[in-house]
Order: sequence, then structure tokens, then C-alpha cells
Amino acid sequence: MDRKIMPDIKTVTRLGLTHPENARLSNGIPVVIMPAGTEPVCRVDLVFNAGSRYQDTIFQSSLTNQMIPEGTAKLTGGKIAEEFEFYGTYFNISADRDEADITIHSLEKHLEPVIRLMSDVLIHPSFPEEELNVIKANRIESMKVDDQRVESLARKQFNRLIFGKNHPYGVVGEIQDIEPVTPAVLADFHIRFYDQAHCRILVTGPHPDQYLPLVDRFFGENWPVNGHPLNTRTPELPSLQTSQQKRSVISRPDAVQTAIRIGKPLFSRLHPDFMGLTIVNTILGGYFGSRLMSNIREEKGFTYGIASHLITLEDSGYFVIGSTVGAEVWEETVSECAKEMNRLCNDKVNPGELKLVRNYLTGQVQRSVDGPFQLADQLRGLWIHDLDLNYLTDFMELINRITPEEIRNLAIKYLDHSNMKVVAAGPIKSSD
Amino acid sequence: MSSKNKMEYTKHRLHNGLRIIVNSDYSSPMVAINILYDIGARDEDPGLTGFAHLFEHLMFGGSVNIPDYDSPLQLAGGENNAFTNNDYTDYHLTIPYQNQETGFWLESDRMNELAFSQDSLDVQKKVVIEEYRQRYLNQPYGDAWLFLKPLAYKVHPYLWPTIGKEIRHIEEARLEDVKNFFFIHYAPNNAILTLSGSIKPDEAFTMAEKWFGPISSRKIKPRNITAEPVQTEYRYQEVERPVPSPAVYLVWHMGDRFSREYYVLDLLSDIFSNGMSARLFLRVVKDQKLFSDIDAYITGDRDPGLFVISGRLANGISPESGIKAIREEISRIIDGPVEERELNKVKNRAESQFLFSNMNVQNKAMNLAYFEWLGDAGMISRELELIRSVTVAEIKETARNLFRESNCSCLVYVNKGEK
Repeated sequence: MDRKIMPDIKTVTRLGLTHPENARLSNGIPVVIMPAGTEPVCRVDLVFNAGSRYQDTIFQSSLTNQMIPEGTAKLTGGKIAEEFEFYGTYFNISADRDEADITIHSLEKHLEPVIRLMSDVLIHPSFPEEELNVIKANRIESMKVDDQRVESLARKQFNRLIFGKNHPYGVVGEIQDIEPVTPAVLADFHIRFYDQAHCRILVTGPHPDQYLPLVDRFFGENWPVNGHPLNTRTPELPSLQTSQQKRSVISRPDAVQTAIRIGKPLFSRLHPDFMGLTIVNTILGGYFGSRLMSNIREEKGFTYGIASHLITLEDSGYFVIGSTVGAEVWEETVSECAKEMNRLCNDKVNPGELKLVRNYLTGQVQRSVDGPFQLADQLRGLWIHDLDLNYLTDFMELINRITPEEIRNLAIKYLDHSNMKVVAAGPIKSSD
Repeated sequence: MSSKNKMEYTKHRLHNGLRIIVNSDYSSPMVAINILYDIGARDEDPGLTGFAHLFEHLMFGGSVNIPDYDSPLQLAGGENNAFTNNDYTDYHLTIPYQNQETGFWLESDRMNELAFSQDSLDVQKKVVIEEYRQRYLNQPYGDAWLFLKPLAYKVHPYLWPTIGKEIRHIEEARLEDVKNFFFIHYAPNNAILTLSGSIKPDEAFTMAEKWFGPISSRKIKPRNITAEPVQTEYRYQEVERPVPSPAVYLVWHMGDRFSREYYVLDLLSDIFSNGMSARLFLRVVKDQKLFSDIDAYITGDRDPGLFVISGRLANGISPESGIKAIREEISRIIDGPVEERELNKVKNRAESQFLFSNMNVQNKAMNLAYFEWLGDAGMISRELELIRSVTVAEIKETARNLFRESNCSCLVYVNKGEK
């Protein structure tokens, strides 16, 4: 045995996948039932086209989402939480720019009472003013903390530059925007967007035949159609109002590091180049061994971490590099990022690096569907573009097929750093 | 308890002392490999704190036969990470089962011997200093534990944080300290190897024998930890920072990981703050509006740890009124009613948390290693029985004993500047 020689490895090219079953509830809501897992636990996702892009008041979407479990005509928020917790259920809410979710993770043996409560909470929220005031006050306090973090300052400013501060994707809520939100504003949003017309349901667990009747009883039969066409989405968004400003520096003299964001607007997952660019992004900054990590962290020690991402939204997307670095090296970090992007545009990736990225990514795809809730996460993420798990099979195929020329061409097409925005927040002199 | 709460595993020990535990789970296309080394921040020299964690970074700087750890792992489709805490250091990876041998090859070579490169040390010192700044210095309230630990502990090494007492200790680390540290702490007889996923126990044991078997056992530096003396008076410290609102941290000394009290107080911390129906949230956040955020938890250490209640005050509320309200909630536990339903609720939460935390191969491998490190991997299947057996009377009695004034340390963040 020679410890210097690596054991033989295999490149995994096939993905073992169970596909879900599509159905409709008696009121027409589309449901996906995903058979997965061996433990007696399951997850129910209610997904609404109710993200912040649809709101007419800032914070309307996220506060409606957060207030849904805060009370019904008969139950207080505290009692609702107590019931879920007594069953050992995890009840979660979340809202982003496009969608809003209500999710439960439950022991299978308690699924019926849990779904019953979930449907009551969803269909009959009372938006009590007292609770809203507490949530608003606490949201303001946590935003004050965020506003002291250079990472959030850089993130917010980057978002404004990419989309334009008045674009539905570019609006950034500030503390003064919270006060005007009233229960009536939330009830209005709830009526318009938390209905069967904007809803999709995903159920994941080991006993799929049991779930559909239960879900139909509480979200189908009991929830009559209100006249909106099913699965309603608003028309296309206005075009982006990307700022002309290329560079933005936020001065925080008391910070000890500088947060940076570098990037540009791109496109959603539906764009034909998205999949290939995901591979290019991985090489640049998408994993621990990426070029950015090797250069900025492992060679120079400028940061604890640096990464690049392709963010997909329903009707747009962007590319971003993010890091928090030593205050004195932020400009050098920005120019090193530019160098790394240039290198991808100028030189073809060598076969060794490509093989490594291929194998790493196929492992990542396998990991991403390993376990029932990971699988649900993948499916949930693809839904917004009406894609299914075949997307992952296609991705596996592209990972193993893409050539160094194609990678360089994608980099030339999309990773020209000269038209990217640069945002830095840290102890930088304001004259900069 | 139903049989669903049991985890099946097979155990084996190599002649060099390495313990191996395997949980076969063929529903996964991966194998998770976890190695726990029985070395944590509590084993550090008071003049060289942060060393265990810095060392964890150096474990990725190449071993004697393999110049780079990450590239071969990624080439095999694997991914890995590691963490260091007060008590131990954990390295874990997941890899497609077809390529599992690469995991054995990589982990055994870095247990065998590191490359000990000065370049790697110099760079990782910088990386860890940036980590220190990012997590502890560049966030509001980020430095709380840099104050709280030395306030609560006077002699026990839990008095410094895992990242290190100060940046200077990291800057001063020398290559010879690194070498020395490796040979007295990193050894088969000081480690636990656990696997979960598409692998048969026999296959794992054969592979472990092949790769780890040739590594000799080493002389481990005996642990010499001074127990923390009983605290005899209330401790209070105020720090002034430009924070958006004042915050309070109250901590009390509690029993170690093996004590009955550990389970009782774990549940009590859930009664206080686990979930939106928990007492502190309902009373001091929602009803009285004194805090914008509050949390209660136990530190979960092996040696006697801390019960913590910490919160950020609501706008305009003084730390004194916040502390007073927390003390009232403590009295309500000791002197007021605690319903069976309330205790059952937090037990049910604990049960589902246990199920949810054992649903992927990486967590299973990590949990098995942790319980084996505590003394016996089989404990993993007895945890829930222990939790289920806690009574209301025990909660009250333990609370009465814990929340004595003289057992408490209090840290307060104030902002004296105008805001």
C-alpha cells in the first residue's frame, strides 16, 4: 500500500430518483405528493405566489406571512403555537421576492390534527393589532442590529444598484417603512394572495397514499374557490432599472472589516445558459476549492470565506461575489476577483480542474436529493419555473458533457468584470 | 418509546485503539465518515488559547503523503467540514459510496502525520484572525462570550472561548507548537471513527484496518483540568458599546453532561424559550414588551456548564427592568404551577427533534461519534427515555437549587452615547 497513491475513483453519471405524483384537490389546487424517507415523519409545504413583488406597501408581504399564525377568531397566537409544539410539529413561515411559504414538519401520527390546525390558521387569520405592534417593534429592533453589520449594508446597496430602488425586486425596506403597516393592509393582502388561486401544495413522506385524502379534506373541500383563475401570477415585471453607478462605498468608521459585493444582473434559471453558467460559477467561487477561495483565503489569508453565486428569481436573476475581508485589503480583493474572472475568459480550464469540478458537482447533486427533506427542498426550488426533478438529471448530463471551450465562451459572455457593480461597506474614508 | 427511536450500529476496535462504529443505511447513495478527536479548547495551555481551533484549520493544509486534502476529496465527489468546541474536534465528510475508500485514505493520512508547513500556518493564522474579527468583533453583541466566560469561570479552562482569549495568542503560534500538539493529541487511541450510509460493517472494518491499522498508538498528554470552585457571590459586569439597544446575559453554573440535572435543565430551558408558546416569549416579549428577543439554553458542555438566559431589551426599557422580569419568571417556575401538559409539550418537541436530527447520514455519523465519546454510542437510544422520565417536581427542585443569587453572573451591554 502506497499512501501517496489515491484509490481508484468512479465518476457517477446517473442519479437515482423517485419521481413524485401530481394530483389536484377537489377545488383544483395542484398538489405534488413525494414518496420519500423511512422515518414516520412528513412535511407539508403550502406555497403562494405572494412575495414582495406583489405588494403595494413595503413589508406588506413579509408581515402578512409572519402574522398568519398570530391568531384566528377563536385562537390566540400563543395557543396556536402551543398546539403545534405539543404535537412536536415545526411550523415555519417564510417570504421572499416571488413566493411565500407556510411549512410544517410533523410526526406522521399527528398529521391529521396538525393539518386541521394549519388550515384553520391559513384560512381564518385575524391579524390582531396587539400582536402586530409587538412584531413591528421587534422587527425594528432587529433591523437596528442589522444596520450595524457591514454585510447587510453592502447587501442592501447592491440590491438597489442591480434592480433600481423602485423596481419590485429592488425595493429595500427601511425602519421607517414598518410603522405605516396596519392589520387592514395585511388582511387585504391575505384576501388577494393567500387563496387557492395562488396556492400549490407539496407533501413529502414515507406513506404517500395517506396524504392526499387528508390534504383534500382541509385544503380542498373546505376551501371553496373564490373566482380567481387557478395558479394566478401577475404579468411580467417592468424591465430592470439598473443603476448607472458602478461603484458604491459605504463608510462605517467603527467597523473592523469591509464587506464587499461584486456582480451584475443576469437571468433566471429558465435561460438556456443558466445551467452551464452554474458550472462556470462553481469553478470561480462555488465551492471550497474554488479559484476565489484558493486565491483570497488559502493563498492570501484575506478572509474567512469568499463565494460567488448565481441567484435566480422568477423573472430575473443576478451574479454576485460576496466576502468580508480585512479592512486594508478590500481593494486588492476586488482586483484579484477581477483577475480571476479575466482568467476564466482568457484561458481554457485545464482537464484536471474540469474533472475535479465535474466529480464534485455530481456529488453535490447526489447530496442535494439525499434524504426526504433535501429532496423536497430541490423540488420546491424548481417549482417557481414549473420545472421538475428532470432538471437535475439534465444538469448531471451537462456536467459530464461541457467542454473547456464552452466554459470559456460562457465566461466571456457573462463574466466581464468591467461592467459589474462594486459595493464596499467598512472603515473606508468617505472621500474614497 | 417506540423502536423508531433506536439506532442500529456495529462497533469494533483496532489494536491501535481506534474505535469504529458503523450504521448501515442503504437508502442513501452516500457514505458519511466522521472522525472525532478527544481534544478541545479545554485542553489548551492558558498562554496558547485558540490552538485547538487553529489546529483544525491546519488539518486541511496537507498531510505527509497527500499535499492537499480538499482536491482529491472533491475529485471523488466528496464534501467535508470540521468544527472545534470546548471539548472536542470533529471532522466529517460525505462521499458517493463508490468512492468511499478515498475518504479512508485522506483521513488516515492526516491522522498518520501532517505536512507541517510554515506557509500553511502563516496563511491559516490570518484566516483565523479574520474569522475572529468577523464573528466576534465586527457584529453588535459579537464579543459577549469574550466577557461572559471569564466572568463565570475563574479557573476551569471554559474561561476562554474556542476561538482564543485574544488575537495575540493566534499570532504567536509557532510551527514547533503545532508539531508538538499533533503528536500528543491526534492519534488512533484518541479518536472515534463513525460511518453511516451505504456501507456494510465488515467492509468498513476491513477498510479501516487497511488504512488506519498501520498507524501506531501514541502517548496522549494526560488531561489535567482544575474543577471550577463553587461560586459564592453574585458577579456583575457592564460593557459599553455602540449597540442599538441594551442587552442582558444571565448565566448560572449547572451540572456536567452526565448529571441528572443536565436533562432536567435542558427541558427547563425549553419551557422558557423553545418555540413561540414558550414562557419567556409569551410573557416578557409579547405581553410585557420588555424584550425584543430572548433566549434560554444550556451550553451543553461535558464538564459542568452554564444555564443561560439572554435577551435584547425593547426600545426604552432599562436592563434593570428586564432582569427583574426574568427573575419573576424564575420564581413562577419555582413557586407557581408547572402543568403536566407544558412539560409533555417540551418532551414531545425533544422527541421530534431527535427524529429530525437523525434523518441524514452525516448527522447520524456525527451523533454516534458524540455519544461514543461521552462513553457509549448506545446512549443515543436511551436519551429519550431519560428525557421522558423528568418530572415536574424535579424541574422545580432543580430550578430552586440552580437560580441562587450567589450562583449567578450577569453581563449587561449599555450604550451611553446618544443614538
